[in-house]
Amino acid sequence: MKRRLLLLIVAFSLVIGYSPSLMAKVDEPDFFNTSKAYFYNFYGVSPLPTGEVWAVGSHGMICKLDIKYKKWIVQESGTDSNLYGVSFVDEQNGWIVGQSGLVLRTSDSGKTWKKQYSHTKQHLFSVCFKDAENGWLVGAYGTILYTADGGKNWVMQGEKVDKIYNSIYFVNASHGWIVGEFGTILHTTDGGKTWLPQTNPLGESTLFRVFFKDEKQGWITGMDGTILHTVDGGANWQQMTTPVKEHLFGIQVVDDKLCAVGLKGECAMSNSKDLVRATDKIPTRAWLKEVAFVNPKVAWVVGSVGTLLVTCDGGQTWQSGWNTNIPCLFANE
Amino acid sequence: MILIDRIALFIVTRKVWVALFMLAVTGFFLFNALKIPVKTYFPDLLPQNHPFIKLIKGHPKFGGTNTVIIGMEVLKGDIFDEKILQTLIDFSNELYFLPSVDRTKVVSLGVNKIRNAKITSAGISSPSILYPNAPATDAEMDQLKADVYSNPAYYGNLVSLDAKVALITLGFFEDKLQPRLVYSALQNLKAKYESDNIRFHIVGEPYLYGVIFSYLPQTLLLFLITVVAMLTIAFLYTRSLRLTLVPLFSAAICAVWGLGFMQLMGYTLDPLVLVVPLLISATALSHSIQFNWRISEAYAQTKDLKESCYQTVRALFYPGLAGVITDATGILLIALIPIPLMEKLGISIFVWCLSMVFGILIFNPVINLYLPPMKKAGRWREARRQGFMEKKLLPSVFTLCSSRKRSWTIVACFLALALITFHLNSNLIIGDIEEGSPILKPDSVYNQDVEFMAQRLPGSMNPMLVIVEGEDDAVKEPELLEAVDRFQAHMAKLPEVTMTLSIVNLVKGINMAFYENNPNYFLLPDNRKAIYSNLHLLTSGGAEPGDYDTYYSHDFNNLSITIYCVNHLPSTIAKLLNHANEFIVKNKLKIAEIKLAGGRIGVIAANNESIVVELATTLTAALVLTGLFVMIVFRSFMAGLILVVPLSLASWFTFGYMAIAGIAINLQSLPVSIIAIGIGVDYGVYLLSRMREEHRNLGDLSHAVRESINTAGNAIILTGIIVIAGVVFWVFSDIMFQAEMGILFSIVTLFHVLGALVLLPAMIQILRPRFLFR
Repeated sequence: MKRRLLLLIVAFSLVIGYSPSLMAKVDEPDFFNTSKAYFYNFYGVSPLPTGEVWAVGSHGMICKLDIKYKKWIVQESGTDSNLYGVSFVDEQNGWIVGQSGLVLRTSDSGKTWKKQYSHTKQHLFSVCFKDAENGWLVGAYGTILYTADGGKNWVMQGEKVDKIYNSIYFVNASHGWIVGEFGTILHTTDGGKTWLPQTNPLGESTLFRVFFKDEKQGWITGMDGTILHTVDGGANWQQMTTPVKEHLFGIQVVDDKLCAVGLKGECAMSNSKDLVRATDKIPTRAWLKEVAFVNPKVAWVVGSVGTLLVTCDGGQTWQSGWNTNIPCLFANE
Repeated sequence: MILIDRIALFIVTRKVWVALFMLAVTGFFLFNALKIPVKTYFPDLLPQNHPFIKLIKGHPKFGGTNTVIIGMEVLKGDIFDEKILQTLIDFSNELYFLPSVDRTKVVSLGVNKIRNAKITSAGISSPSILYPNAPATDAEMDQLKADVYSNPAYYGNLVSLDAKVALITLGFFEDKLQPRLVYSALQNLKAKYESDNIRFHIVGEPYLYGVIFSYLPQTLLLFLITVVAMLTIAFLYTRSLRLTLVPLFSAAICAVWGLGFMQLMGYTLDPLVLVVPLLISATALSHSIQFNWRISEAYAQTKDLKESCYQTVRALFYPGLAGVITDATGILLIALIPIPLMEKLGISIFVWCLSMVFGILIFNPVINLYLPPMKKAGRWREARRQGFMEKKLLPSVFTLCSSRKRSWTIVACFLALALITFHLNSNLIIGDIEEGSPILKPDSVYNQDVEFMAQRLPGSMNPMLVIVEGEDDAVKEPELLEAVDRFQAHMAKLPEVTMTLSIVNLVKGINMAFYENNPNYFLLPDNRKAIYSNLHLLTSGGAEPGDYDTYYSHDFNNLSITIYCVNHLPSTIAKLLNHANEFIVKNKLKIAEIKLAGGRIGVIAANNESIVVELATTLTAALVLTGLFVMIVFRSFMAGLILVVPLSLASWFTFGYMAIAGIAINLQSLPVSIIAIGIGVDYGVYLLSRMREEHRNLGDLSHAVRESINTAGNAIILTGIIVIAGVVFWVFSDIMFQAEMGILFSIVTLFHVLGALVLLPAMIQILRPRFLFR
């Protein structure tokens, strides 16, 4: 009896002794020390309808706002290079492009990122996937790459020219636009098999970002506060009157709300037709690279020195997105 | 006639020769001693042979330790206000005219060299972002904000993240540095520009040196108090002006010899370690009091001064010589610590100590022979034998170890205390842990300013410099810059790192400007030509000579990387160095070598390493040498062993006190235990010598113990009190270097006295060693 009791006590002690260590072995993600975000320049942001947000930046930074932990977590990219663009088609499947031809792909919501062979050493600045199979990339030296199999194979599109392509956007699998250096605007209606130039009313002024709401309505941002607008799929581009004079790098439109961001924290917004300077609402003068709307109220902006801003009121106020206590971040739950 | 008789006879019969010799040598040393500079030579505080210090010295342009950092704090609002910015510009301007300032190293948002490179179709321009006038319109202010916030080299570096503090740094020419003038000039500027809304916080080594100089009057005051206290104790103990003034004169002669020697060696009298010379003077004073006491006692008995001196020399010359040699040996051992201050201190105080042989053992009898004999010596002797110590204190000390049982209790108490201390010592800190300078107290204005800077501009106070030494033109190689970029990113991953900065950051910025300010091109060019053109643009776009000296060398061979850290705790430093070494080992470069470490972190790391390496060896060497010396004196292994125990315990307990009080093992606390061992062993030697003598006379160990406590115990307590009086007042010094040395010397001396008077007799009662019966 005594022996059994002793055994029981030993077993009980072992269980108690080991339980904390067992609990500690639960695979916890690598939480991002957001107080050190200023080490990184952020180039791309992609908020998903689920509430998750992906942001990528310099020194191989990939971070994700995790809805389970309600915290930002860092994911291993395996590179120290700049990551310029991120595109997710659903919760699981996403692609990231970066310096020196880098393409990364995840199919498990970012738990693992695998390198894909782009067969180029040129910097890739923009990525656009419309489904888990079809995607396009653009970058330096006229690089346009297309995949029809989720990135297993990348093929070159267009001509190889000494031009930087800064941005690519497809509204569907057929209609897409590319903008870049020397005022370049390219358009395709056949998924990129043929790319045809469109006329830029500004001539050779570099363009940074293109966004289309549908096949007809589109916007392009460029140098010195330029915003071009089309209502006919790019057959005619009109220069909008903008209240800012610095380069604008990012633009997005949802419903009738437009937001463009750029150098030195510049921000232009519109609710209807008139664009107004909203820079004073932005709590930083770092350069802002990309803006992405979740809905007309909630939008994200990323930029240099760790800038990650979020608005919950359609741009009236912007707060640091590293603060995960903002109620609208997890409103979907 | 044996040797000691010859020595004694020579001294008393050749008093003229001895006096002339002493006069000549003392005159020679006095001539030199009067010229000795009283100052701290700050490079002496650094371990000059440590690879980190050598690296810093090899690249002075990358930033040595001669930098002053000023934080201009705005109490209400932020710095983006016309008035405040104009103050910043004007204040920065005035810094150019500070004595010994290197104008190329005056950096703040308000100086000409803080620019923003602009590349437009019209050409390349690089206008200053603020200098010479503060923005007068909202648009101009907005532009300035944009220039600051968009540049990581400015935001978080020259302007705090909350924009309430602007940082100003200034470098000095090391060979022309005049800390006193720099200090007073900065104090004047501070008074001129501070207002209801603006405060200045000034830190950095050249300013710190000035702060320390400003404490010189206090040092002088404490010195005077100490001298008066020692003399008062001497007089109260001896109740004789003769027995106070002759020892004072003897201690002064030793001081003249010591100081003269220091001047001849080219050393300075460093106010920081003034406690040590005073400790030696206190020892000299007590040695001399005992010597003269014995002469006076002998005179009271014999009424023959010459005979009294002869007898005293015969009786005390060898024990005195042994005492002086042990004192000197302990001190010489601190010269093993590879820090020049300690090397110089060890050598000079060693000689100072040895001068006691001439100044006291040889010259004291001669002085007595030249002075008129003591009046009423018999009455003086009787009165002294009825004193409190002889009648009350010392007999009660003996009762503590009067039997073997009581002795066991004493030993058990010391053992228990040792065990408790063992537990405490696990918390002993090695190296400096306070954010501020360990030389000053944490609540000093200077250290408060350091604390402020560390909080508001994290990292500004703790830079670690990493130097990349490369082949010809290595800085232009993409491979090298790319490795530097990865190294910076690698270091940035540590939570303790707040920022990293190198030429890579600037080259990336210029590259982005080249590509029409396209952020995608905030990266390093992948070819040598492009890198060179970026570097060329940096230096040619209106830059002043020397603007980029802190980033890379003119010949494009070497570059520096600065890693800013949150603190300089030993654990942080170890983590930083390990993390950096990890990268260096994995990323060997063909064209260059990454070398650690400069900056404040490098200096502290070098100091800590020197202290850690030398602590154990020096302390062990001191104990072993002392033990060996005692073995030789008593011709017994056991004697050495018995005496080393209380000595080790005294050091051990002092470490325990340091652990409780949070005093780290550092430059000021390290020498204490070592020096104290030499001085502390005297007490044991007095006691054992007397015990052996008394055993010969009385034939019973217990009686011998009682008598030796009554007689030698008197001398031990006197020496202990005078030594403590010589150091304890420094506890009130605002210079922590002096205060910590003062308190630790006092405590270790107290433990030595307790060990000699209580533990040692108890051990003798238990062990009954044979050497006492010989």
